[in-house]
This record gives sequence, C-alpha cells and structure tokens, in this order.
Amino acid sequence: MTQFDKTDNSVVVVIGSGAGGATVAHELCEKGIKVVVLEAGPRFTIDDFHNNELAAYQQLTWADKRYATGDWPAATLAPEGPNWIVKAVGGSTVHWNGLSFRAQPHEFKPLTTYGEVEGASLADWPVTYDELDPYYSRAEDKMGVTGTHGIQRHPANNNYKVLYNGAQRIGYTQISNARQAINSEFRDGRGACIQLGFCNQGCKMGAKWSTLYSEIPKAEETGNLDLRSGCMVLRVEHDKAGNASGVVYVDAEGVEQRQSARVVCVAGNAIETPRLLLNSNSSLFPDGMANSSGEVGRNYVRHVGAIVFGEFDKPVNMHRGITVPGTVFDEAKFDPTRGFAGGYLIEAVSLGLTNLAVVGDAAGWGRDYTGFLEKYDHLAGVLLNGEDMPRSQNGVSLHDTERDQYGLPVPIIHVEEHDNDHAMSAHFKIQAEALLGAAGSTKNHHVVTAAATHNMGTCRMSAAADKGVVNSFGRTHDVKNLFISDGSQFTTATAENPTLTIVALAIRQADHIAAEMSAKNL
Amino acid sequence: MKRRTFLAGSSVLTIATLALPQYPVRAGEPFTDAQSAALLRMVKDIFPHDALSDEPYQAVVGQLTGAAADPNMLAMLRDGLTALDAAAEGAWIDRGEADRITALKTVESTPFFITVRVTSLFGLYGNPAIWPAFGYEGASYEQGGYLFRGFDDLDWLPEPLS
Repeated sequence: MTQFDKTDNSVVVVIGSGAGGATVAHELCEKGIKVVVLEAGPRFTIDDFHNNELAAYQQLTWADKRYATGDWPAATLAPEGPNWIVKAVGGSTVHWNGLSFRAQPHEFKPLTTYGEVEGASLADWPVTYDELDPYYSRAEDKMGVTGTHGIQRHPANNNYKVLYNGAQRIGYTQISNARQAINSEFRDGRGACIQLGFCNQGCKMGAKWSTLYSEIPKAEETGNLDLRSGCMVLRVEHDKAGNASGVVYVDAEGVEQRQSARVVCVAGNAIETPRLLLNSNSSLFPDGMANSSGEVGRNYVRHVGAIVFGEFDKPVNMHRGITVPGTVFDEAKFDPTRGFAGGYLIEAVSLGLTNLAVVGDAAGWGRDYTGFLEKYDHLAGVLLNGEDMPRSQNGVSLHDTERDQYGLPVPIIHVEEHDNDHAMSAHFKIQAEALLGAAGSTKNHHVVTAAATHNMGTCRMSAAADKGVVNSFGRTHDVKNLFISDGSQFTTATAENPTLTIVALAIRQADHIAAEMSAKNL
Repeated sequence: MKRRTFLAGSSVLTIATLALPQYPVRAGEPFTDAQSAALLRMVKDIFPHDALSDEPYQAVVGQLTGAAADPNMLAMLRDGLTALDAAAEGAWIDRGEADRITALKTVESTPFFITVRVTSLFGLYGNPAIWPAFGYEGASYEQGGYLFRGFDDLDWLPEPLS
C-alpha cells in the first residue's frame, strides 16, 4: 500500500471516506494527484458485515457523544445520539439505502421559487442544475444507478407492490422502482443484488454502491492513495498567510500526528465537518477556520421524516429484499396550494423486527404495541423524505465544558422545526394513509423518526462570501486551499436523498482542484 | 456497555441512543425466587406475546440478573419491585393482568421501568429464537437472499407496470 511522508506538503489531505471524501479522493488519484485520506473509523470488509440489525448497528454506528437540543423529536427521543451515521471506512455509504434521484432544477433556486419564507434562511444555490447535469450523469454511471445509462431496473419486491398499487389507486402517476445505486446485474466489479433485505447493515453482496469497495480500492490501484483508518482529525492548521498547511490527528494507536498538505478537503458529514472548522480556531480565525461569515455550523437541514406502516389481511413480508424498493415522486413538485413550500418523496421502506420494535414507538409497551408487532409479516411501510426549511439558528455548536475521548468539545445539534415542516408532515400522513388504505390496509401505525441520517447545510454554498462558507465548487471563501466535500455544502436540503448530489458535487470539485493545481493557483 | 447509554434519565430512548445491553446471563442470586418471578411477570407484561414460551422471557430476566452484579443496579431493581408492590397495595404478581398494568403505568417513567423495558426490548426482539413466531426470517445471505425465496411472492395485488 502506498504511504506518503507526513512532511510531504504536495499531497491533498481528505478528511472522511464517505460519499464526498472518497469520491473526491478517487477522482484526484485518477488524475495523478497524491492523496492522503484520514478516516476516523475502522476498515471493514464485506465479509465482516452482519445480516443482523443489532450487530450491524453496534459495528457501524458513529456512537461518540452528541447532544440534541431544540424541539425536534431527537431532543426528547435521542438526546445523546441524534444522528444515525457510520463511523467506518466508506462512511455512511456503508449503510445508505442506495436511492439516487437528482435534485430538481427549481430546488437549486428555492428562494426564487418559493419566495421569502418567514423564519427560514432560504437561499439560492450558486450552482445551477444545468451546470451539475453532466456531473450527475457521471455520478450515475460511477454508482451504477438503475434506470440510467441503460442499467436495468430491479424486479418489484413485495413492499414495492403495495406502494405501487396504493399510489396508483389514489391517482399518483410518477411511481418507480428505478434510481437505485444497487446492481441489478454484475457491473463494475460488483455483484448483483440477491434481495438480501439488509441494505442498511452493509451489503454483503457488494451490489449496493459504497466507497468502501468501489472508489477506495480503485483509488488505491492508482498508487496515489494513502488511506489511514482509525485516524480522528483534531484540527486543520494554517500558515502565516492563512492558507491550510496541514492537519493534526490522533492515529489508530492513539498517537498524535501531523500531516502536511497542499490542499485540504473536509468531508466528515455535516456534524463533524463544521465541528472541525470550529475546533480549528486560531488568532487569525478566532471564530473557527473559514468562518468570517459566521455561517459555519448554521442552516442545518436533515429532511422532514416520518414512517407509516399499514396492516394488511394478507401477508406482505416487507423484509424480503431491497430496503427502500421504490418511490412516489408526485409530491416532490413545488405546489404552494398544499400549504407548504418544498416537496417530498414517498418511499417504500421496511424494517426488520428488531428495529421495528425499537423505533415503532420509542416508549411502546403493552398489548396494543405487541399486537402491532405481531402483525410483522402483514405490514408494509412508507417513508416521508421532504425538504425541510433551513433556519439560521439550527445547527452544530460546541459544548462549553464537556470533552469527548479525543479531548474535543462535544457537538450540540440544535433544531427548531419550522411550521412548514409540520405542514408537510401532516400532508404526508394523510396521503400515506390514503395510499396504504387504497392498497388494502385495515389499520395504520404512525412512527416518529428521531435520528437524522441525512445531515446537510452546515457549511452552505453561496456566491457572496458574507452569506455562506463555500463557493459553488465547495471552496471556502476565506481559505483558498480548503474545500468542503460533503453534504455540508448544500445550500438547502432539496426533497431528494442527498448522496447522488454529494457525489456529483465531489466529481465537479475534483475537476476544479486538478485544474487549479495545474494552473498553480493551488 | 456504559449504563448511561440506555438510561438517559426518564427520557424515552431510540435505537440511536441504545446499544444492546451485554450483561452476563445469570440465574437466581442476587434475587430471591419471588423477585425473579416478579421480574419474569413484568417482562411478560411489558411485551406480552401469548404465542411465546417463557424461555425468551427468562433469558431477559437472566440479563437483568447479570446486570444486578452492579450494586446500584441491584438496588434499583429491588426498590422498583418494592414500589410495584406498593402501587398494587399487596403482592403485585398476584394481581390480575388489568391491575398489574395499572400498577406498571404508575412507574413507567422511572429508571427502574425504563431499564427493564429497554433490556427486554433488545433481549427479546434481538433474540432470533422468537423471530419465526412473527414471520421475520432474519439473516438471508447464507441462504442466497430472498431472490429465489419469495421476495416477490405477494400475489393479491396486480404486478406493477413501472
């Protein structure tokens, strides 16, 4: 394996190996650029994954302490663990569902499209859909998204049959089981899906795209990648001119190290990324690195979420096969007559019995609850994934006194939900009940989702340096060789699952970094 | 596993804060037979499934008994059972189901109840032995997934056209 010297100041240092970090690293390696990736978690192989919800949760989850405050469900239901993301090589691409819709053109201009929404910090992205279009295409090809590039859709599984028929019967027309970054046939060195039903536990077929077994080994084959797992970055350092000069981290043996850098890309997920910038304060950057705007850590968005399970007279067996096997897109449009701005996706979803018992009702017990669980193989689920309103006060800050195992201040994630989010959620619940009822459900069970998995917006993109943290290439306005490469750079949430857009932005960013390095601007 | 991870005051808990309690499974000591019987009754009342035998519930009591090697945990569980008897104005275990549930509701926000509930939640629903009773088939990789084992066998709705 390639190893670069820690004093080598010609390398690009990428912090994090998930969708954003590993993609930008791989793209740079293919262009002949030397990259060091620092990943906080351990490196697993496909053989290590568990077809078991509890074992996988314990193996993969980022369990370092975080506090949730505000009025979102996590503040009461998961006050010390409000985010379900992965701490391992591959990041949250290990446990993601694979759903890969593009954000819609108007969603890059939410302020222009929706108008000012009181109490929200809506802003237009400094990049347009048309500019991203070719990168979306490259991302879909890279990830093997079904229904694009001639890639076959998967056959309909049981849970999708319920979604499809219910949706069709209430008049929806945009119903699809395509747009999955899950191989329907052998492609790009990865096997085909055999409907394991454990997408969120690490795909044991490697059919679902994950940087763990796609971008990272490909980057390693170039000889230009030095991946160091078990390495938690403490701070980014800068030179007298204010350019990033290296990063200080604790290695897998617990020893503090420093890696010099020509360019630094931060991709630690939208909690850890702003946390690292805030922790990288100095006399030159008293409020944290790249934070002259004061926007680092603000405008946190995580999608409006909820789940409804319908009970049916006949068996469904939702657990057999792809976890999120299909989507209704009809409500993803902008239509203010519904009483809210933004749109949402309705996604079929299944949970195993263990996770269903845990999240079905966070305080549930007694015969009502166990009666619901006993219907397990007669249940079908639908999930809300909608655009939540960004708010300046929502975001990531540092605890005044409490430190984690690395000596870093514990992050606090604060969310005050906007009325628009509640209006959207209420609309979904009515539509979900109608959909499930039309498919034949006799009873519906509503689940509050506490833990956020789509974390975005905490280092938002903006054209103006005083309105956001990074420009349209994810380059920080304040530090010319410091980039944000994950969902933190999203200006707003959009209604779609974020991974495809993260990957498209990362490919575009890598092209930009390489061009700027060639031009000696970096 | 640290206790704070599943004992966040009186707040309700979710998978995001929880890890499977990994207590050694023990029987008997430090509990009396009556206390062990009351714990078993309580675990069954919290998650009643008439189709299940006592065995998976006993396994949860074994986990609680193992956890009680910690003196603080032992005191909390013993005191909790005492409080339950007080709420039932007599031996809680001898009351009918409706009365037992009424008594449990008076303690449901206590660390005692939350500890027993959360231990039962993971101990019971994380136990593969009970899954067949629910129609949950669990691990599938070793059997080739569900591609040839019914992933699309729902036949009471028309086949999707897209």
